[in-house]
Amino acid sequence: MLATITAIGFWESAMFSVDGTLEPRSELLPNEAINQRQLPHFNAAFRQIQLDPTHPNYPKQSDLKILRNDTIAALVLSQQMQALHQWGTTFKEHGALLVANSNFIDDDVLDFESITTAVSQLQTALDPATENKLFGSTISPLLPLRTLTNGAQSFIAQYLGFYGSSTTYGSTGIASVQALRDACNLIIIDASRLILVGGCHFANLFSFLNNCLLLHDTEGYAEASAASFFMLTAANPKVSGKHNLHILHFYQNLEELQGEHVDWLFYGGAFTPLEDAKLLARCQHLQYQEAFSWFAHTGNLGAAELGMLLAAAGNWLRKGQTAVVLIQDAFGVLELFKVEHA
Amino acid sequence: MSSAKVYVLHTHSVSPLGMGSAELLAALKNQKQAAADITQFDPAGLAQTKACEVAPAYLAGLDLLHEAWQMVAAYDRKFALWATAVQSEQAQLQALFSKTSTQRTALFLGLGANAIPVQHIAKSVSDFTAFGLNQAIAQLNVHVGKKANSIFNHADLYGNYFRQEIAPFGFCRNLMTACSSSTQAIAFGAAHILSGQADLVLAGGTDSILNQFAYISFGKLGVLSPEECKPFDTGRNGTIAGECAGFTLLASEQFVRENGLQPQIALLGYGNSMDAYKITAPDPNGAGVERALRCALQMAQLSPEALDYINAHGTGTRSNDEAELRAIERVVGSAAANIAVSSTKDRHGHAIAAAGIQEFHVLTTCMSNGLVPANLNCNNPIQTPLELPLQTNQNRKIKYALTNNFAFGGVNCALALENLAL
Repeated sequence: MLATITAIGFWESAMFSVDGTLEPRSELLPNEAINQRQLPHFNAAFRQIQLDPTHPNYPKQSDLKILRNDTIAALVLSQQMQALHQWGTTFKEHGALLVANSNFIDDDVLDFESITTAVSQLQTALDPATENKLFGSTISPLLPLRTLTNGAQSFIAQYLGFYGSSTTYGSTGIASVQALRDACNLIIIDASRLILVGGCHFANLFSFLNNCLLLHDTEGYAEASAASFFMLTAANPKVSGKHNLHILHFYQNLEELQGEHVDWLFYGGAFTPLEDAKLLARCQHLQYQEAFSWFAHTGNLGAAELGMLLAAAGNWLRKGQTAVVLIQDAFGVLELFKVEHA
Repeated sequence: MSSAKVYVLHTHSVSPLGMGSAELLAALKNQKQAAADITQFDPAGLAQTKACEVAPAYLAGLDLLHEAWQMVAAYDRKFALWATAVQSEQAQLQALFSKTSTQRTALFLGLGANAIPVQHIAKSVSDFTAFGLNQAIAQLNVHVGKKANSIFNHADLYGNYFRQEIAPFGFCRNLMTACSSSTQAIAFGAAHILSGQADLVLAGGTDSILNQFAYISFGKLGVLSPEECKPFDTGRNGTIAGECAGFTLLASEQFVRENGLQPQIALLGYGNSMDAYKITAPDPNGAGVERALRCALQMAQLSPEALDYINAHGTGTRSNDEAELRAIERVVGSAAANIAVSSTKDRHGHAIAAAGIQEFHVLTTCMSNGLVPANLNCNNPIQTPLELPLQTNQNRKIKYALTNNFAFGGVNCALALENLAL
């Protein structure tokens, strides 16, 4: 046993849970996001988080101009989790915060209209000085902050009053599993005993531009903006919370699943229905009773996928049952590990 | 926390001060300042038209790369620098990576954000307005093979290049904390060795904001000096942009012993902290910086009195330098007068996500050669009990040293090093 998860929270579209509670699998709805033309010859469906500006944990007005929606969701969720679980000094001063972010550029930055204007000005300017002046006038001074890769991590630290060790992982769906692996490492070397691990993802054209050409087929491409977090502590077999999980073991590759028996397989990372099916087929070495992927309900969840899968595992595994959690990135690289319900 | 050491086998970079340790040392000794007119785009009309660029001659080796990589390098300067840095040390890297099983090796890379190549789009699509941006992007952003796209790529690009062209490795982390990215890459890489997860870690990074889109937008933050970069000077008014790619090879004690290696530098500890203050500005009291420094010393089991030199973040901005000095003063206390502090950004500029690996290379080179680099442009230093070497380098042994880097968003990271030859 490597570590124990003692709290989970997630937010996708209207699915929000600060205590990790998830409805039964049978009540999850299929993804009804509309497939739309994104680029010539490319369609994709995106789901967005339903943010509520009146929420008491909604960020300050002065911060909103440099906050991406995925970061706002991560902020609201993490503050709610802190309020519920009462994470105190041990976490805030001596803990760690490891955040994965699978898209740092939001729609306002990748605003095609303003880029079109900027590029047009580059093409029509008579001299370099005019070009730079015109180009500069189209760029918001907030752009470097809106695209700050550690924006989510830094805002979470600011709003939670977190002073400990922290970093940002990016930019694919397995980044959050890498954060989890590093969190286990920090526990092993006794660098931190309470580690908040999580991820957020902005589903939009920029993400699509990074991913679509890596796929053989983009039919049914779907992504969802989301945020999810979980608290990791030193392994503790005595912990037996409602949705708590023990992290048992990381595998190096799929072949290591040969001969393994688990109750569930939770898998994710696909961008299309075909990829989702192929990913399940790749797990043929594993013997399991049930398998679950979020794809049919949400589409790809980027760096938030791990927390969402762990939430499912925390809710649907019974005490003592085990599962393999597996996530694939856009390049086909896999991260996989085994959990047990506490 | 473990008191085990992580060994620094070899450090390499391509930077405005040259390629490799020998050229870097010569540039440091000669007090070279690399700032010159920007060549990667025409900066006419901008408040600052100079930056510290990597000389084009160093990138000549890109012509030998597969066509796919050449295409990526044409759009992404970070990639061009990264490929140059690792390609130039290919033989040594392959030799070292072959000395242990692939699963026991890892990459930890500190990387900057992507920039939208608007100049390329403008030059490549003649009738852009009629053509439309979607069409232009669809035309320009193509899959070039080698798991890479021409324009829009995940951060995994740099690790994928290494895996395909240099050597396979067990796993890779992409750390993206702006100006502290590659410093954290070294720290987290060391943690993996200490936890027994890896024997050999390549830690480093690459970044460049010397393109029209990034440079102009970065300039709007008000952190670029219209003059020269003057760290720790009371008249400082900003930093100067730079670029770099580099890496250090970290190894476990067992790897060093089994391979009969005799490294000269050891990484003793690191400290990470968050300001939790504002995303737009560091804590003016430097409390987060102080915590990072204390953690690094504690992990290294070093007393402040043991420190000989600190390579500071020292950006030359109003907000950083004084807060950093005050934090150092609080940490070292009465030992201040014996600790030299300097920033070398006045020589090589601010390489953003690659600042950490660039300054790590500067520090290890200085430690190996008994050199304390001076603050070259500091004529009216901030009052401090610390020793700020001014204008002229010092020949001086460095047994123990720190290097600091801090990022927008309040991420602080410090590394503690030991010179094993002393």
